[in-house]
Amino acid sequence: MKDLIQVQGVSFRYDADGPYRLKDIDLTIQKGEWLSIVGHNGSGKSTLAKHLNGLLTPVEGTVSVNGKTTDQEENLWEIRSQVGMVFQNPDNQFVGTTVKDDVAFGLENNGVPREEMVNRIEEALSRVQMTGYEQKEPHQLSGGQKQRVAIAGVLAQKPSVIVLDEATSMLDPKGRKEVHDTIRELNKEDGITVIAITHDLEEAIQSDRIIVMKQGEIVAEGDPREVFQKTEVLLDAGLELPFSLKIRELLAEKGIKLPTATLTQTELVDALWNYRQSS
Amino acid sequence: MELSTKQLAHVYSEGTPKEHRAIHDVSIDVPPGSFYAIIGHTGSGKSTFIQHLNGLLKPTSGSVHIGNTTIKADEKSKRLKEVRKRVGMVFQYPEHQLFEETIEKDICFGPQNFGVSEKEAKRRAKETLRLVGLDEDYLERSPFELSGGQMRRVAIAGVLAMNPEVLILDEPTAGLDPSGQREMMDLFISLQKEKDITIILVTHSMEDAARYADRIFVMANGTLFLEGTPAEIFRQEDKLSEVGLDIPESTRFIKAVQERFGSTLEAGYTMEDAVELVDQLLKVRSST
Repeated sequence: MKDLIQVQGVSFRYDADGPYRLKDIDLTIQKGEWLSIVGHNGSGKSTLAKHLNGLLTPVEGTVSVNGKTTDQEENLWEIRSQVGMVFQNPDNQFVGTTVKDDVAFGLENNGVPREEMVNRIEEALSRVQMTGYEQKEPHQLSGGQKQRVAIAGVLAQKPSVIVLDEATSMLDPKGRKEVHDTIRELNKEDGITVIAITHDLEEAIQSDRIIVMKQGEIVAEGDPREVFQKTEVLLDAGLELPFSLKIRELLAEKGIKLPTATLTQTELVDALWNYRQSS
Repeated sequence: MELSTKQLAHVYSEGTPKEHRAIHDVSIDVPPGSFYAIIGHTGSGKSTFIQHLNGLLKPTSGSVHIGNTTIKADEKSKRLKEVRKRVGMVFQYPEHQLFEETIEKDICFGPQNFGVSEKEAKRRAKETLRLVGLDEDYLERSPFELSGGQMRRVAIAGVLAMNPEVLILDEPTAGLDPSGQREMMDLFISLQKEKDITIILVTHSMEDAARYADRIFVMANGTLFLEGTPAEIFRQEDKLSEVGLDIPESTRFIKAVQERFGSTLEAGYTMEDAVELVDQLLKVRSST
């Protein structure tokens, strides 16, 4: 895999005398990777996300996408066409009057010719399973559908990276699942790099790599299995443990100590079975 | 204060081409001081239903009984103001409704509207702000300088300042981070226990319903689909999945463990019950 985004020694604060929101962050994101950035509110995770397409630029250090740094104004156009963002509130990012217009918005801005535009809209909507909804207005859609339209709007620009900033936190369980399935498909089948900002560790389980942030710093990093062994660090970062880890913690209090952290319920049931066989 | 509905129905835009029957035949009974949860899919009629409980919507047919006030179709209710004072409603994302320059003014707005003196309203502002976990220093600050979670607390303080006897909460923890969610739920539990406030919680979280509710109403397709204690409700996995709802993860785990271990031990549905079950299963083995 090849390095796509490089964050080097990045520090950031909003005001010259304010507190640092990011402190000396180093991070490399590879092409095709699915990365989760998890942390409590105020941990700096969204601030970091906004650096990835130049919505914010570092006070110190550099961020580069495909070798182009975000602090050069002339690079921004290209960087933003490469790195698409989907935000938290489905209602705040719906700009068109219909689904079709909404997806077209970014393309029109980029001067994509009409014929090409029609094709891309069709394709993008089909990728998020929203074909047939072209003429629907936002109030006719559920939250999950609106977020999928937002993703289609980004996809139509043919980005190599999609950054989702708490994109499912305002959705009901069904909407969350829809969006989640869409993301997984885009990553696995189309090879789009996914960076998901979330405070939900359950959601991060399926990603390739997790970084845990606390007070502007990266406090843990690794694949989910590695990161989930570090229960203390996760709790200290103000995160809610995934179900199977919570059970493991509670069992440990009763003197039942499972050797390794399990990610899923099935793994946990197996681990308990093995524990009984061996005791 | 007792709260109940009898064969409540609501039809939007009745007699027009847009006519839509949102809820029908909903009869519930909520005793004073209890904690009830309403669960149901988006579009199941939950929001329409709860708006009847403080007179924001009037039934198309059927009735709502709040204390000794009755709200019926085609009948003018004189005491709606009284009802709204006694039944506090916290909508989704209540922080979007903050509007005053200072937090104190924002919290005082509700009670003063209901005729409470300025002095008393300010006293209540101070008290409720403390209840929601913010100290007095905040009174003079602008609500718009706060974090999302703090703004929500202020909005809730504004409802509490009316001294409601019933609190209706529509997804009060949506969009908060885990510790914010927990603190918020702890607040409601303490209000119920200490101030004897009746709580009706609308939630998508089966875990919260399992953990906190005395009884659960399951709504589907505009009507009351199931009603019972959490244990009774979560025993009916098939029925829940019929209407697109899940059982709590802890309940699913308990089932999986029982299947794997071939156990027939009685077990509940919460995380604590799950741990208890595992503990028993493993101990049984090691003692034999």
